[in-house]
Amino acid sequence: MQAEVQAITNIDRLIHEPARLAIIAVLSACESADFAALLHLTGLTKGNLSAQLQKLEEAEYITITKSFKERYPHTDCALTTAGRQAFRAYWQQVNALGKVITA
Amino acid sequence: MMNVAGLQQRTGRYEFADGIRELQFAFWVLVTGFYGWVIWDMPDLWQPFAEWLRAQNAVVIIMLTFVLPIGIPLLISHLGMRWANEKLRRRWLWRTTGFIKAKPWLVPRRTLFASLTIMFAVFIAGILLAIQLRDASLIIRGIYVGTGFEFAYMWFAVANRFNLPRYRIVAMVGLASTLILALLPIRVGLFGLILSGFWGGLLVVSGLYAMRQTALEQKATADAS
Repeated sequence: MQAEVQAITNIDRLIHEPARLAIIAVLSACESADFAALLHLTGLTKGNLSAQLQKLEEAEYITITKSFKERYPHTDCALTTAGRQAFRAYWQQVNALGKVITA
Repeated sequence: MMNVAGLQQRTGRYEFADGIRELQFAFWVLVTGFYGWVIWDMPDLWQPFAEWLRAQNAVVIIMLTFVLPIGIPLLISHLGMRWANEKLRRRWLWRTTGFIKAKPWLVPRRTLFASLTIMFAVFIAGILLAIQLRDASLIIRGIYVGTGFEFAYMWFAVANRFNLPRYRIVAMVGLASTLILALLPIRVGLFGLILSGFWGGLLVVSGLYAMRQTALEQKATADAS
C-alpha cells in the first residue's frame, strides 16, 4: 500500500491540474496548435489559457512562439521533448493507479 | 475525470475533418491511375519515346522516367497542401477553430503495415491465379484490386481512430466498387483507370462535401460571435 501512496504523492501536479492536462493532451496529439485552437478544444477562457500556458512554458513543458500573421498577433504552442516525456510518465502513473484502485 | 483520449481524438480529427486530405489523396489516386492506363493501354504513345530514351545517358533516363513523372506530382501535392493550409484553412476552414499542425505520422504505422499486408496478400493471390489460369494480366489486376482493398482498410481504420463516419462510407463504397470491378472482364489498363477514377471521384465528392460543411459551420460560428 505504501508504494501506491508514494505513487499518488509523486504524481506530476503541474500536469495533473485539469486545465493544463487538457492543454497537454491537445498538444500531445499534434505538432503544434495555435492559441485559437487551444481555446476551441479545451474550452478554457482566454485569461485562464494564457496563465496555464505561461506555467507550462516556465516548466519547459511547452514552447510558445509569438509572431504576426497578416498584421495580427499569432501564438503557436508545441510540446517540448521534456513535456512529452512528462506527459507519458504521468499517464503511466495514472493508469497504474487506476489498476490499483479497481483491484 | 477528463476525457484525455477524446481530446486527443478531436485534435487529430482536425486534419481529416475538412476534406483537404481526401482531395490530396484523390489527386495521387488519379495521377497513378492515369499513369497505369498510359503504360498498359497506350503503348503507341510512349514506345517511340522509350526508344529515344534508351539512346540517352543515365542522368536523362533517370530524370525523365522517375524524377519528372513522380517529382512533378509530388511538387504539386506539396505546394497544393501548403496553399490549402495557408489560404483555405487559416482564412476559411479553420477560421474560428484555430490552426493545428498535424503530426507527420497521423495514421498509425500498425495501420499502414496492415493495409500494405492486405495489398500484398491480394497481389500474391493474383500471381497464383495468373499461374493457374495462364493469364499474366491477373498479376497487374491483383495489384489494382489489392490497392483498392488497402485503401478501403485504411479509410476504415482512420474513420475508427478519429470517429469520422464519412470515412466509413467512403471505405464501404470503395470496397464494394473494387469488388464489382474486379469481376468485370475489362482490359487491365482500363480497369486501373476506372478503379482509380472511381476512388478518385469518390474522394473528391467526399472531400468537397466535407469542405462545404466545414465552411458553413465556420461561417455560422463566426456570425454567431
